[in-house]
Amino acid sequence: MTGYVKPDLDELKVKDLKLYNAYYCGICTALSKKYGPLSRVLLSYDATFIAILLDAFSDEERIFGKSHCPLPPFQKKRVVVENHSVSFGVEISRLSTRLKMDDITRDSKFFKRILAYLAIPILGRVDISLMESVKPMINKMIFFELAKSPNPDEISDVFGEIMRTMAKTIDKIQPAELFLYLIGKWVYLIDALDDISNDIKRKVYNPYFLKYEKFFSEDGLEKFIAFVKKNEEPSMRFLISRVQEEFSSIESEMTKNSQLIKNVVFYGMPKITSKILKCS
Amino acid sequence: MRDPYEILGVRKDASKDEIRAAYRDLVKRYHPDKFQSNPDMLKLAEEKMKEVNEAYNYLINHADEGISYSTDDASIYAQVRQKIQSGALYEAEDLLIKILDKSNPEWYFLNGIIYAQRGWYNKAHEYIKHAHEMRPDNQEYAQAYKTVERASKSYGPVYTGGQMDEGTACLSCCATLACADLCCNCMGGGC
Repeated sequence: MTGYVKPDLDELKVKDLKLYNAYYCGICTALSKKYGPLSRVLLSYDATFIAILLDAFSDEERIFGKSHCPLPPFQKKRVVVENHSVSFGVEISRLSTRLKMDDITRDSKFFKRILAYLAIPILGRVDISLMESVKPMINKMIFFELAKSPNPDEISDVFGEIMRTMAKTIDKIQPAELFLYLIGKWVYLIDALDDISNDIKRKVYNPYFLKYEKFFSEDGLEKFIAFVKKNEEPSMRFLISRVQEEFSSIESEMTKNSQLIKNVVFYGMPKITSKILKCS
Repeated sequence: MRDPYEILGVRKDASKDEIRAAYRDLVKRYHPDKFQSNPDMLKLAEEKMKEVNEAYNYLINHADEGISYSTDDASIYAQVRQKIQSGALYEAEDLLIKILDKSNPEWYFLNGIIYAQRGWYNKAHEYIKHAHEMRPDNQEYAQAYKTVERASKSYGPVYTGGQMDEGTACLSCCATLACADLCCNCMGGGC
């Protein structure tokens, strides 16, 4: 399963772990119902997070049901029965993974994520005008990649804006606009840091590589990566603290799932950041 | 215009040579000639080049301006603080760019605060650290530096039972804390 925005399961209360699984299995089940059993592999953590966040602001009733899991031990699972939030998670999972395949052929990192979060006219709730409003931003990202922009802040800012624009059109999630912007920014940057080694080897665009290019030497790859990560550590930590701060300011507007999202923001994201920053 | 130093990617006390080198590097990357094949890309390249050119021209010309007097600087700093407090970050920045005498730690400190408010945390840390090192006995700089240092070190599990612990509470944007300090120390009127 792909994704960076996920909880630290060890730190979850059992009831929140069950809730997270209910969403996760709920999206998996809905995927299978809508797109066939094989589509279950498309499930992503990021999409699950977005579904959970959407539901946090939704008034729609949440019902729990049961579903059979096709994987061992083939248990009956408790699921969130498909509602608007789960459906959205389904669509994002599908897009996100299909684009991961495209990424291999297209050799362009951001595609992996960008359209994954692009709201298309699904559920009838998202405007078709969103496509128009997001297209210039996608073009801007393509431009920065082609021009080999050495500025990670600049390009991740555009990705954050795409997330923010998406939030603007989804009913009731407006309070989370800045929150989603910051998460989008974090996702782009952590992805770039995680992939830096592979990107250098495959000669694919990576803004961190370009930012520190003058320190790079062919035989010192590991040292270079360690250097880049050490330098970027304060920025990433600050970004996370900003995400946490923003969460605290919108927490009171969430009608449910706030403990789960809190875990993602205070335990999950820092854990992943730490892990990626430490390994070369 | 956005902050020209950010556009070129140079520090605010960069030399003319550094500015020129940064400009040349960006021109190589964003020159419209490279994007002739695609009209959308071409347009973006032209916009970016325009932005880069404006920034470069401003910085190069600005470096040729006359000397400013230290008394003027003091009043500029006061105005900058007011602007930061009221959230007018771009105006605060515009004022700071006018200052030529960069030997004053206040210049670094206020730049750091503006960066922090903007979210450029790496730079905020750099500038505030410099200000603190230049004048270690200044309580305002020391406090801000402590906050910045703490923020960049602790993001681990600080949440205990739904209560914000002291670490996280102080974390809430170093600029907010620093601005609270600003309020107490502000030169242009207030408490």
